[in-house]
Amino acid sequence: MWRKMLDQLIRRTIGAVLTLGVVIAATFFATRLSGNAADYLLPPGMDAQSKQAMIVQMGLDQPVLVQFWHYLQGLVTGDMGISLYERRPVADIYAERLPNTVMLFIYALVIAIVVGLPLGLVAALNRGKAIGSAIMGIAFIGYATPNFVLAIIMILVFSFNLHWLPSSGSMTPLHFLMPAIVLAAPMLAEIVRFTRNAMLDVLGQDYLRTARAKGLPEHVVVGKHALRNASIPIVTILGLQVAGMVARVVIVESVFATKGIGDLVVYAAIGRDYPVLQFGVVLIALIVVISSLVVDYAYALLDPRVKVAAS
Amino acid sequence: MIKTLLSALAMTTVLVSAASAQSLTVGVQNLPPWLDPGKDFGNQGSQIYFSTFDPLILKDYSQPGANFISGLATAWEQTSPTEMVLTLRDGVKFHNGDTMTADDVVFSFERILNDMTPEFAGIHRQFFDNFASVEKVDDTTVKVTTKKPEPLFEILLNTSEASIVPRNYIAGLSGDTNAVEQSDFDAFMMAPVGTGPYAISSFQPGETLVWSRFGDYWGDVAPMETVTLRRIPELATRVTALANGEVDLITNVPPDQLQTISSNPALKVEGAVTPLFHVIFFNTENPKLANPKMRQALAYAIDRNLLNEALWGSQAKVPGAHTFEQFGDLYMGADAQTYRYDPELAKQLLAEAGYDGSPIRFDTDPVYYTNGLLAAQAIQEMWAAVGVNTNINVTTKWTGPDEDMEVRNWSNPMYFADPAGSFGVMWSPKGSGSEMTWPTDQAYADLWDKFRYSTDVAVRKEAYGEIMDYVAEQMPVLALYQPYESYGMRQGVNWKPLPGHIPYVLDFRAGSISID
Repeated sequence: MWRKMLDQLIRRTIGAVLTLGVVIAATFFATRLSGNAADYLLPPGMDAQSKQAMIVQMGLDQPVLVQFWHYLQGLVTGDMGISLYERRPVADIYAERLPNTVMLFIYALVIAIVVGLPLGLVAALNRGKAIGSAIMGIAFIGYATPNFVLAIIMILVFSFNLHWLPSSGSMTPLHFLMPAIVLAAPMLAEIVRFTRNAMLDVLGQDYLRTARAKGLPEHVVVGKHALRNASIPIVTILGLQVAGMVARVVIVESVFATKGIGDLVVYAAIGRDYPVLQFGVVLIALIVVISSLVVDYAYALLDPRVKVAAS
Repeated sequence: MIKTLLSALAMTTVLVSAASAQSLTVGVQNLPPWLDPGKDFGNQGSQIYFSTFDPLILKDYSQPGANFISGLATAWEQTSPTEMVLTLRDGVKFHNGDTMTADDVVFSFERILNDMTPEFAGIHRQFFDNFASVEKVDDTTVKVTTKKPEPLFEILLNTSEASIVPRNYIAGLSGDTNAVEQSDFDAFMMAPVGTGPYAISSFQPGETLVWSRFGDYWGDVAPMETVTLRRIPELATRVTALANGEVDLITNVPPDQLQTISSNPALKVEGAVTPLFHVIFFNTENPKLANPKMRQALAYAIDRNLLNEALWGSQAKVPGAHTFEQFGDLYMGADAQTYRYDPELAKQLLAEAGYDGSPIRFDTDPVYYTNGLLAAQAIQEMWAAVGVNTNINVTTKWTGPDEDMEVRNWSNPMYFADPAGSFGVMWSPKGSGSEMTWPTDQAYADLWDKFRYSTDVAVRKEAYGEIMDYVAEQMPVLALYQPYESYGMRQGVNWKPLPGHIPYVLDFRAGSISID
C-alpha cells in the first residue's frame, strides 16, 4: 500500500514539476511579447545613447533565447535575478513582501473556516427554516459580489464614514482585517454552501440513524459521525479556494495598498519588470500546485476508502 | 458584543493614526524604486531629493524667479565665462557624521562627468554636457571649468542632480572600502546619505520612506521630527486614508476629486500650476505628417483654452510658447504666439497640404497623464471640426520611438529653470524628443548653440524667440497646458507647493511647513 502511495506521490510530483516548467516558459515569453521593458522603466526624457547603455546593462539587448537560457541557469542556481526597476535582488524584494501576503492568507482562511463551518452546520440543521434560508441568502450574496466592490463598500462604510478601521497599508494586524474579510468572503460562502450540502447528504444516511438509535447524544452524532464524513468535500473546496484566493489577492492588495506579492506583481506587470513578474507568477503557480497536492493527501488522511483504493 | 468589539477596534485605530505637531504622514501615489540624486531626473525621485540633499547653491523657492542663496557653498564668483570658483561652507555634516570636504564635492561631480554608470552618463549629457571639470583648489575652495562659455552656472549648480554626496561613505559600502566601485553605487541607492535637513532613516522601495530630523544640520533645523511617506497608489484609497485620519497629506489629487476633499470640513486642498507641460508631439518622419503644414493645421485646430476650461476648471495654464514663468528674464510672457487657436487657418493649411481624409492615429496611455485620455477625445472632436479623422489608440506602451507613431501625448517637465532645462532636454538638436521624431539641420544646431552658450541674456532671449518661431513653422511639439497639481491635507497642516521648485518636490524644510 505504501509503495503505491509513493508511486502516486512521485507521479504527482513529476506532474507538478512539468506544470511549473510550462508556467516558467510561458511567463518568460509572454512578458517579452508584452513590450520592451526599456520603454516603461526609463524616464521618457532619457537620451537614446543612455537608453541603449541601460538596455545593455539590463541584458535586454541579447536575443530572447539567450536571455531565457540565462534565466534558467539562474533558476537552477537559486538566483532569481535583479529587479530591473528596483535594481536589487528579486529574492530580497519577495522576502520583504511575502510575510504580508502569508499573514493575509492565514487570516482569510481562519475567518472562512471559523465562520463558514458553523454557519453551514446551522444552515443544514435548520433546513427549511427562516434562519437556514437567511444564512444561505447571505452566503449567496457573499459569493456573487465582486471583491473590489465589497472592498470599496467596506472602505466607504468602516473607514470613510465610521472611521473604525484603517483603509490602507499593512502596518498593524488591524490593517489586515478588511482585506482578509474581502479575501475570505467567496471562500466563506463556498464553505457554508458545501458544509450545508455535505451535512444534509450525511444526515440522511443510515449510520446516523444507527448512531442515534444507539442513544448517542445529538452533539456527538453531528460533531463526530456527521461532520467527519462531510469534511471530504469541504477540504476539496478549501483546496480550490486557495487557488481562487491567489487570484483575488492581486486585486485585494491593490485596493487596500497591502504591501504583499499581489500588489508587487501588479506593478511589475505594469512596469514590465520581467524578473519580478516572472518570479511572482512562478511563485503563485507553486502555491497552487502545492495546495492541490496537499488536498490530494488530505483526502487519504480523512477518507480510509482512498487508502484502500490505493492498495 | 459586536458593538463593543468594533468600538475597541475604533480606539486602536485612533491610537495608530494619532499625529502630533512634530510628525507628518504623507500618502504618495508613487515612491521611487531607488535614490541617488546624481542619477535621477524622474518625477518620483524629485519628490525626495530636495529635503534630503543640498546642492552648493540654493535659492529662494517661495517665488518663481532665480534668487540664489548660499547652500553648501558660502560664496561663488564667476572668474571667466568658462570658470567659477566656489568657497565651501565649513563644518557641514553628512547624515552619517562625516564632515563634508572639497573631495566630496569633486567626487559628486566626477561620478557624473566620468560616466561611472549609464544613468550618470545620462545626467552628464542632459545637465552637465558643458562641464569640463570640477577641481579642488584647496580644502575649502573648488573650481568648476566648462568647455564653452556657461550662462547657467548657478542654475546648474542649484539642481538636485548637483547635490553633494559623501565619497568615503559610498566607497565603504561594499568590496574594497577605500575604492569606489559599481557595487558601491548600487548599495548607495538603498541607503542614501546627504547633508540635508532630513536623514532617510528607513526606505522600503514602493512602500515607505521615513525622514528623521537631522540634528546636525548646518542651516535651520527641520520643523518635523519625522515625516513618513507611504505609497498608496489607488486614488480612492488615498483620499479615504486622508478622510480617515491615517495620513495628513496626500499627493496627486485630480481635479474631479477636489470637491470630495474640500467639502469635508476637516480637510482642505492646496495646489499650484506646476512647471511642466502636457504636450502632444508629431512624428515628422511619418509620411502622413511629413508636411509641416499638416502639423501646423493640427496644432491650430486645438482650442487649448476650452480644454483647460472643461478638464481643469480653468485652473491649468495655457502657454503661448514653450516657456515657463520660472525662466525669469527669458520668460516669453502670456502673449507669445508660437501656439494659438485658429481653426480657419487650420482648414486652409489642410487643403494646402492635400490632406486626403485618412485617419490620424493618436496614441495615449489610459491613465498615466491626468486627463490625458479625456484630452485626446476632446482633441479628436476638435480635429473632426476641421475635417480630420482621428483614431485614438489607447496603449500602455511608450510608442514615442516607434516608426509608425503619428501623434501622441507626453509631458515636458522643467528640470531646471531655463529653456535648456525643459524645451532643450526634449527638443534641442540632441534632445530626446528630437532624436525620436524630429531630426534637425545644422542651422538649427547653430541657433541652439547661440542660445545655449551666449552669456548675454538679451542675445539668449532673442535666440530663444527665433527657436520658437522655428517651432511654430516646423511644429514638432505643441504645449497644451501646465497642469494644476493638487494636494489634499487635513486642516492644521500649513503646506503648499512652492513656485520656485521643479515639479513634485515635497519641500518640508524650515519655513515651508508647519502644523497647528
